[in-house]
Amino acid sequence: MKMQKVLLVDDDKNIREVAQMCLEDDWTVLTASSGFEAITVACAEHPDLILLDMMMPGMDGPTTMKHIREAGLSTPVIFLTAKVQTHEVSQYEKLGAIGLIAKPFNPMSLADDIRRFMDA
Amino acid sequence: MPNMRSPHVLIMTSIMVVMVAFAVAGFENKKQFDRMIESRKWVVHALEVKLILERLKSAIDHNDIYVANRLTNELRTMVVDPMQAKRGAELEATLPAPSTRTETILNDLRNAEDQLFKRRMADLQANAARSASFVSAINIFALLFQIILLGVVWYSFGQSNAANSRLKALLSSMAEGVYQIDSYGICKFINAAAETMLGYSSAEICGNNMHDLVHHTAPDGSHRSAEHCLLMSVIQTKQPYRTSDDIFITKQGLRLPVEVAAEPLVQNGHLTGAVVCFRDITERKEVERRLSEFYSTVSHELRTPLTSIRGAFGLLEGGKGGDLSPKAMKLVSMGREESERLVRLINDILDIRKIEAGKFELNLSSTSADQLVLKTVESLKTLAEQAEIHLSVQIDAAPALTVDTDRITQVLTNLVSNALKFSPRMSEVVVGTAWAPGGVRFLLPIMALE
Repeated sequence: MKMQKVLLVDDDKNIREVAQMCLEDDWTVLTASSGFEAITVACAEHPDLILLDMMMPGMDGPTTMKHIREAGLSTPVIFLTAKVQTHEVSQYEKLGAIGLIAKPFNPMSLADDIRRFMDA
Repeated sequence: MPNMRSPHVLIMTSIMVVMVAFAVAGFENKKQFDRMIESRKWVVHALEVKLILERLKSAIDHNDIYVANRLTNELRTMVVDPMQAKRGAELEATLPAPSTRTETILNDLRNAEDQLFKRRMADLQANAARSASFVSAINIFALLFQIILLGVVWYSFGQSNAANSRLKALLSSMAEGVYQIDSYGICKFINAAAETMLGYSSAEICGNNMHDLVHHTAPDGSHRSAEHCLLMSVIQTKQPYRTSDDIFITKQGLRLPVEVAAEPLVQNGHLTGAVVCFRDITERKEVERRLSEFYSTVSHELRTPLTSIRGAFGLLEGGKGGDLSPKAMKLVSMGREESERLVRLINDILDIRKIEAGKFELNLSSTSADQLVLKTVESLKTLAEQAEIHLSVQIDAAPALTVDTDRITQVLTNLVSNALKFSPRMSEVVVGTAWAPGGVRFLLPIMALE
């Protein structure tokens, strides 16, 4: 069975590598280091899921998501955020994401957390 | 059309006429006044004499010759009322051995009595003549009283004018905005600072409903009806209201963050409206925003490297980097645990900041007391094993609770983990629940095992 594709978007290289290692057993992991790159990869590869960091220099997560939607892709998005305590966190549903994962995430349960959001 | 100044001219003219009349009448009646005043003097004298007599009695009772002598000399210089002279005689009679001094006093008193009697007779004769002119004297007094009254009114009118202008100067130089509304919420007065802050001139704003004009929008941007406005409620409840976080909408349509205090306005025992005082808190809000942003940024900046550190240790521990020797595994676990502790510390700092800013919110949900205890003990099992302490549970009460589960668990975890950290090896820590008056009590007895 062909593995599903997940696009991992984060401006921090180490986080991308750690997350990639967490997920590579279950998914084909694509990575992007900025919003612009994410849009390009998403349009080219049509991933099954996008893990999108909310706060990135240049283009932030919600704006990136908006552009991806405008490009005609309805790929489900899960936000990653290090700002777990701010009120914007509760707004992720309003932004159209299917879930939110707080940083630092538990590397051993990351894959399960993602699957739970996708099944919900 | 009558001149605007005519009332003043009229009043001044009447005062002058009255004063002239008084001068003439006063001159004619001067002698009668003198006599009346003379007769009043007797009353004063009589009182003084009475006082000295009392002191004299006391001095005699105490055999204080020096004081008695001095008082006697005083009495000699005074004119004495016959009744008091008689009292003096009675006092004298009570004394066992009358001294020559007291005899002298009595003589003086008797002389005084004669004098007074003669004066009284003269007064009685004069009374008949006086009563005729007394009526005119009363009239003069009445006029005099009116003049004084007029003067007082005139003076206080000037005073209240001065007080008014002082009050106006005070209100207009205040940095805080002040406005007054009547019992319908209509603006009756607004000071200069409020005009500047709200962007309306006094002429534009007075006569308008203040709620509809500047207070119709809540801080969250929603419409605020006058019925639910706490500022307007002051008029109904007569209770003062204040808030440190509100907004007014300026003439330009901008939001003005304000601190507001409204006090009911009571005049002559009746509620006539309210006085609202407010302060522009734009700067304070900006400082709060920056502080909040600072904490948020610091938290974000710390979490990003921690995500990699925790992730890396977690993956190593989970075997992603290949098999590890027991020593290496121990070191990796240590790194993972400490990175988790750092995350908790950052969360604590953010919590404290939230509590300080008054923005800490509880996320209430239903659970039961036993569930809270079991969850706490489960999460601390490893710690207890490491510390070689027997951690057990004793549930005697398991009522349903509505609590913020995460926060209560946090409190219990802190307490139990402290108990584990600071108890000696081989002791027993029991986490339990018991019924308490009005609720449930969480217990944490620690026992040293033999």
